[in-house]
Amino acid sequence: MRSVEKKGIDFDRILKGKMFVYLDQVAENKKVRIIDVQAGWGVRRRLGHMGIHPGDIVTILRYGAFAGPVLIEVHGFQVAVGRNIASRIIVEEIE
Amino acid sequence: MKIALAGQPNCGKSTIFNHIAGYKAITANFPGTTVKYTLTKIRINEYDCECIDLPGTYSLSSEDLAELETREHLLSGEVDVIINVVDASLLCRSLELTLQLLELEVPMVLCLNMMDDAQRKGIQIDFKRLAELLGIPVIPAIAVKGKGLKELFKEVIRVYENKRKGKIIKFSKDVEEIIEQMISSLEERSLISKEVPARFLAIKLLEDDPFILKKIGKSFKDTSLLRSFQNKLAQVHGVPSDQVISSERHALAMYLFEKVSVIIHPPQKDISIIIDNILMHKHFSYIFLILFFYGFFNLIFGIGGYIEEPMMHIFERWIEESRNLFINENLFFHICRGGLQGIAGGIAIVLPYLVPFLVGLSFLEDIGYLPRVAFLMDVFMHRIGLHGKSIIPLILGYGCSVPAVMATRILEFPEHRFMVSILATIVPCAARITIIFGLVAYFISPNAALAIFVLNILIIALTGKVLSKIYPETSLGLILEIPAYRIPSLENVLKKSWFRIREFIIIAWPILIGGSTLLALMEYGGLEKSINWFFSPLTHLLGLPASTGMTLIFGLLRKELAMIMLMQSLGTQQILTVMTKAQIMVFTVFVTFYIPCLATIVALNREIGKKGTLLAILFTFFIAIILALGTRLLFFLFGL
Repeated sequence: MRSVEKKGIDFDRILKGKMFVYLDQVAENKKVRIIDVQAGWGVRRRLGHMGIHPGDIVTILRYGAFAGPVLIEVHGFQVAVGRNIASRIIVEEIE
Repeated sequence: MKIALAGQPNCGKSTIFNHIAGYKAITANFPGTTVKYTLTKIRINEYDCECIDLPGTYSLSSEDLAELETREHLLSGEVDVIINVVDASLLCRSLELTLQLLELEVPMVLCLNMMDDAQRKGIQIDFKRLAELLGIPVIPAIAVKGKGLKELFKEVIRVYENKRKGKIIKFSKDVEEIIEQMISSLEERSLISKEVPARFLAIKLLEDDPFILKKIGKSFKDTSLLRSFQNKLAQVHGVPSDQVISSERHALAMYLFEKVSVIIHPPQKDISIIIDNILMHKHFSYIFLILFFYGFFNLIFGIGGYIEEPMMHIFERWIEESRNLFINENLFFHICRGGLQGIAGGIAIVLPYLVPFLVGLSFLEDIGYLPRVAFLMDVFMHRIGLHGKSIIPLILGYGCSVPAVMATRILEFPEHRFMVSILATIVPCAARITIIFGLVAYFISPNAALAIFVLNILIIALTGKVLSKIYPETSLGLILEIPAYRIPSLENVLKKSWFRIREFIIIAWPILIGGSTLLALMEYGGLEKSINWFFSPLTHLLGLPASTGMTLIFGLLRKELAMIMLMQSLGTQQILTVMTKAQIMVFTVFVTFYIPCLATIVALNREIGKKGTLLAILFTFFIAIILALGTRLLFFLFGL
């Protein structure tokens, strides 16, 4: 399992003792909170425009076969996110 | 009076539009772009209204062309009232767009659509309170059932008469302070125009909107001033200024949402999830996918074949009868025959295949399966540099290239639309499949026919790969909303299909009839020989009989005509007596890949413009020659 890089996150602002992982490492049906999106400006913005921001709670619904996209539920709707993008979203497990 | 429907994708905007639209609604492009909108004229009370259905967008940034054009249109000063359509079951997210629309300071009405879905999710919305908070009328509705739409348009008229604008909803104090400072410095430099509200401009500058920056950058020389504003925000919040604004808006939307709604019961177990557990199963999903499209195509070809044959018989009889009508085979007979063939061609494409196809497509779109197909196929499409969504036009291409090219509209980026349009024309359509079966499978062997299909898929993958090198991917990967399954309304499906079919009827069909008449005239004038002579370098190069030259022209009109005319110009059905197997194979490969048919060219021209169409023509012609030559060489080397 890749460990989360510390670069770009202000760890002092986040409670200690929590497990951070990337979104593509979470088991199906788990709930997580988005901590940071370590992707480019474009991806962050597109997610933001769909109402997906750091701090939001996301449920991982299913993984596509053959390293396909990840299907997540956020604010009551479903979004398919490419595995590549998911591997850049840092989350913490809350359940 | 001009009304614009704006909202996020899948909010039911088009359902409202189709509900009010007459059968004369038109689809048009924004000038100079491929972004589409639909427009209809209606009469409400004593007002003549023009209602425009803008493309669905998540926000009003200028990230993709559709968003930019939507924003430009709303800011053009031509729109009198905006109807912001909102999926009530996704109110929180939708409010973010609503807040941005309010920034435009245009009179607005909010339509809370899909109230039944919200209820099922256990969300109760106090719409009167929402109206107070936003300062605009809020009308609950269920568009698929036509509920609430009368009230909606009544309110639109009222808002138009009062010129009532919504409230400006303020961000946090420190953000507002910076916005105010920016407005005053923009005013100092007299950069504020009448159409674009100052506050909107300031916010977009803070968001680093590239389009606004470019537009204003010319006069806003002092970009360091802008940077200082942006930095001030960034310093306080610890994130770049564009993220500050986006989070502020998010927080505001959440605040409003919490103010006006209560969750009265946990959401009912969504039927979508149960269906998805089967249809989106990790492995079985692909089996369902194949079965689904296999059934879909069989159904359409079944219906098509059932209608086409008797239709064509009627036309053949008419053509024969017209021969008797004109005593000799004179000029008029040829014109008449050409025209009839053109009409028959249109009917043979439109009625049997295009109609069931487009109705089926609209149905698939509305039911919500297509985004799931995109999810499943994303991995494979990425291998050739495309998104999962691109699979849909490509699959449709096996039916007819015209709806396939039209279906590229579902793709957001013009580069993708362009690439997939070209790829979709290479996919053998039903007519070309007929040729492959009728010539190769029949005269050579079924395996040879299979080889052509495999070759075709390889060429598509390769072309995709090459094109994606030229037009590098604009984004990292798929971000696609997967909407819940919905039962489509029949009216909506039929209207949507009608708009698409009509596009074919009024644009492609006349050209087909004209072209067919022209060909008949050429034949009458004895031009056949000169055409064959003209094509002799090509036919000679490919080692084909000279008389095939004319058939290639017919193939441009309708692909399967290439085969029918081949038999006619060779004067026999027993092609093997005059052509070798190698020649048949070369001919079929060439016809499969060469220049798309006239109807497709017209569709291409509408979707990707003149330049793109020309490129597609040249490209397919080039590929066809290379592949046909390769085939000839292969047969020569192995002495088959």
